[in-house]
Amino acid sequence: MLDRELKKGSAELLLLSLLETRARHGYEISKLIESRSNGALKFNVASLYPLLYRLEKRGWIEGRWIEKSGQKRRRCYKLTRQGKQVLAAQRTTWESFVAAINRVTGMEHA
Amino acid sequence: MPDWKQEVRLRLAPLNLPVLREASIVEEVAAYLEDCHAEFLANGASPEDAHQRTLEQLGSNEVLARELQRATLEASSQHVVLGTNRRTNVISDLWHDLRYGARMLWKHRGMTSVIVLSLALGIGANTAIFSLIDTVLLKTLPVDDPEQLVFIQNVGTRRPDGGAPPYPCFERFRDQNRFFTAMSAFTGYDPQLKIDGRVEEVRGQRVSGNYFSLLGVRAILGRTLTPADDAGEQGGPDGLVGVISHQYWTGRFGREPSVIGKVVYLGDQPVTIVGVMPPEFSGMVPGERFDITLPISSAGRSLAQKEFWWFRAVGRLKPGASVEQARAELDGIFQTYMDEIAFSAEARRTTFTGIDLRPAGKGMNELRQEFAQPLKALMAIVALVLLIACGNVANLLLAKATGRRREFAGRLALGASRSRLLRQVLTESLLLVLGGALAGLILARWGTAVFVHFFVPARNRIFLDVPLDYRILAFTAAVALITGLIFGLAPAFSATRVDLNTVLKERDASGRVRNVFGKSLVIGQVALSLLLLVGAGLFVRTLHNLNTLDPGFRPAGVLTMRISPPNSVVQADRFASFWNETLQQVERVAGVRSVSLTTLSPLDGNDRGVAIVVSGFTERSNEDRGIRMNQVTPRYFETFGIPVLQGRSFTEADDETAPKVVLLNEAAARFYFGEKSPLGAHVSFPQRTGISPQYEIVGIVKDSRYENLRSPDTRLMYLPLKQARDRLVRLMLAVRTEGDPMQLSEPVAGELRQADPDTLITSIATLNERVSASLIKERLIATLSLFFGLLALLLASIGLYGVMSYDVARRTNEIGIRMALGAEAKRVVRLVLRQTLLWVVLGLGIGWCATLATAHLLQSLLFGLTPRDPLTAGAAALVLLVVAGIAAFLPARRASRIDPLVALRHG
Repeated sequence: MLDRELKKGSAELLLLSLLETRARHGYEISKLIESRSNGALKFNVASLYPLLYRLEKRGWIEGRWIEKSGQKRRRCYKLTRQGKQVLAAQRTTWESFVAAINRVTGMEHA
Repeated sequence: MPDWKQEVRLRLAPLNLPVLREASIVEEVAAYLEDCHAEFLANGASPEDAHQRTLEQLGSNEVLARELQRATLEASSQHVVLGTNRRTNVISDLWHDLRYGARMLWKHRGMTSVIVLSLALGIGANTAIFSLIDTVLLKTLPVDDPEQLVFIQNVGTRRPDGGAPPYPCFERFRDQNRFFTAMSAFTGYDPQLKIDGRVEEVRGQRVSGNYFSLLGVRAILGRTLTPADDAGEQGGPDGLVGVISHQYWTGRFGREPSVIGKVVYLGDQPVTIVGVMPPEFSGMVPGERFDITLPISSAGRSLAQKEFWWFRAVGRLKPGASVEQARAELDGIFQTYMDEIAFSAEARRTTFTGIDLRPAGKGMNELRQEFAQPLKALMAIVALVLLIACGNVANLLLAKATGRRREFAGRLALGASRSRLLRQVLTESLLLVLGGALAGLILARWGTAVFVHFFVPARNRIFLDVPLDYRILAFTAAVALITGLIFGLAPAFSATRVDLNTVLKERDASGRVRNVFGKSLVIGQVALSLLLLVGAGLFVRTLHNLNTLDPGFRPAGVLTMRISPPNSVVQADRFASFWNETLQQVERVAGVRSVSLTTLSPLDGNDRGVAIVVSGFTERSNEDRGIRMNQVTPRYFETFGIPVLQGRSFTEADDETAPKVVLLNEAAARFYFGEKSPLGAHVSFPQRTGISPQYEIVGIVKDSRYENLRSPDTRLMYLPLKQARDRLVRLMLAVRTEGDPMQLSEPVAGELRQADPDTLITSIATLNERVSASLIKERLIATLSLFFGLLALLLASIGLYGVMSYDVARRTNEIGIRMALGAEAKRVVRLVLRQTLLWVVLGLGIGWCATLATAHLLQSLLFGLTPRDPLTAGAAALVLLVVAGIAAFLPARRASRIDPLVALRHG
């Protein structure tokens, strides 16, 4: 598990990234994060939904109830136009941040 | 499959989310948990394990709520809460209900304050009046086994409430009876005590030595009196001793324990204070304080007098003894005694007929006799006020609950259970009643203070300590609560039972039923209000009649005070000139117009009756001899403004040596002489030793009220003070002044004290104050009934307004159609008003019947008008009609301003 603080700071970025390609519901998001991080990152209900609602309230993502025959109703979230801009900006920041860390830690290892 | 929605709902409960928002979150999160659970099961977890691990996803109970709260802090316009019905969450539910209830009440502040205020007034008024009644009428004395105590009274048809027979007879009772454990004599007596060199008049009593042991009252300091103290005029082994009351100890001696053993002087006789009574008891008369209690043997010669009725007696019956047995025994002893002293047959028949035993557990209470009726009337009034208040509460709660049917239906649709909603309504009703009871408590405290204040000017001898009666507070609050529950819950019941779909879509299904009920409540309120207003009107007019009644004297501008010369003067030669000097001293004071001294002054509570023989008048019975006697200085009639109608007034020349003269009042002149002139006729006083010198009637004066303003004028005779028949140790000084009489009280008193510092001056009051104090009972009931009558009017008009507003709102659609079809605003107003007035008139009719049915109950409290007085009833009905008209006009006007377009859309 990564450090709690680090995870919290990056959680928004994770969610926005996963919603970039298509709309997903909460459980799907949670499973994707777990599997893609090989179990290193885990969200539970109490951390995932408040974050989703916060992003929604900021207007970065948008939730919508989707009903498919034979399945139960799901609330799926997709990225808004504003969300896309935020994601792009956050990605840049993140990449430069990681690069900076790498440089620092790499120098030390060297 | 576990109920994940329930789990989520439980955790969201503290957030009070808007209903749709909450429902959405519940569904979304529950779906997540279902997926999660299914996956655990698919991966081979046991059901328990899967359940447990899924729950862990939710985190601890508070985390989800806390995180969500951070994330979703949104202002919500309407909070509707879904209930959970889990037993485990009762406290949090209750807390939640309370908060929600408080919010709902706050949201409808206007209605809430009307309900709380109605309840507060109803509860407060009842508590205050009942506390007063309890103190004055119901409370038993703080003595041992009060139910065993009886007053031993000598009664006759003309003296239904007499005192004990003469002391020698009482001694026989005490020594010969078989049914009493003990009996005691007691009598009020106001001695002048010299304490630390200063003379003061105190309120006192003389009692038998066994008085305290008979009652079971123990001293809180020192000791009480014992039979040994009651051995003779000079007291017992400790000399003459006295016990003081707790109040006197506190007020006069600052609770100094060294008061025990202190010597005070009764004239020249030393009296040692040996004890202090407990604070709750000072004598057999509740409401009176006896500063000092002395042994009855200090009354000296009175004890031996065989034909002197002067004290009262209390006895304690032996356990098991019947009152009738005891009475018959004492009556036998009494009849023998009366045979021995040879009394006139007529007096024995009418006045000294026999012995009666009356319950003494509550003490002797003049206050009780005087105020029993007014207090009962007031209790009835406040009970009606409570009824009207409850009517209002019922009406408003009904209106409110009906208005909330859609809210309830909505909440039911979203999964709240019925019991949960009922609990919510229950909580709100409880909150309302609690608020009403608290405010009522404050009102009651304030109210009792006001009532006690009412009694203060009456006589400075009434000391009421009125503790609040919490039983009645609880009782009235319970009545209010029941009202609240019935009228809060009933609509909630019906609202939660109906088909949700219809209610959600409905316009107004059961509104009609409610409105019929609301209307009958209003009709009832109007009827009760009329009853109260008529009562108030009658009492106010009674007070007015008494206030404007010609008392026969002019009360304005007269200062009165009671003067007692010091003992040293009374026993010395100069006493003969003392009163003359007093007059002269006061005449010197600037601003004094006329001064007089008198043995009786109007309405001061004293009385003096004598028997006379009138020349040329044939008596039909002994009763015809009775006449009230006043002994006055020449300027008495001028000072009090009593006109001399025939003959002359007294002059300085009518002194000890001059021929004896009297004046009669009109009533006496009429009684003894009819149409003939009494001038020149004679009266004399029958005495044991023959007949007194003759007094010539030299004038007739106008009747004036002495005892109280209500009693018709009785026969009265005036003697010049210098020819007085009584020993004048205490007189009333009356001064007619130029300006405000109270301004002269200090200069006059100062002048008298300068002449002799030991002169005792008491009960300083203007004549107006005495008149006003004599009307205390009437003022009490007039003021309070008026207050409560207006209150009832206010409550009823609020009820009316509420029902009308509701009615107009309900009929918006109909009125809109009427207006769309061309009805003018004026006609709409008329339509609404006409309906309202119909109910009001119906209420008035019922109220009118009620006033006629209850009128006879008020008879004895009224003066100068009958309880069926049509003017009062008409005025009350008119006031009600006008106020009701105003209350109905506001909603009517609102109805007339309905925009037909909006109204039709509304439908």
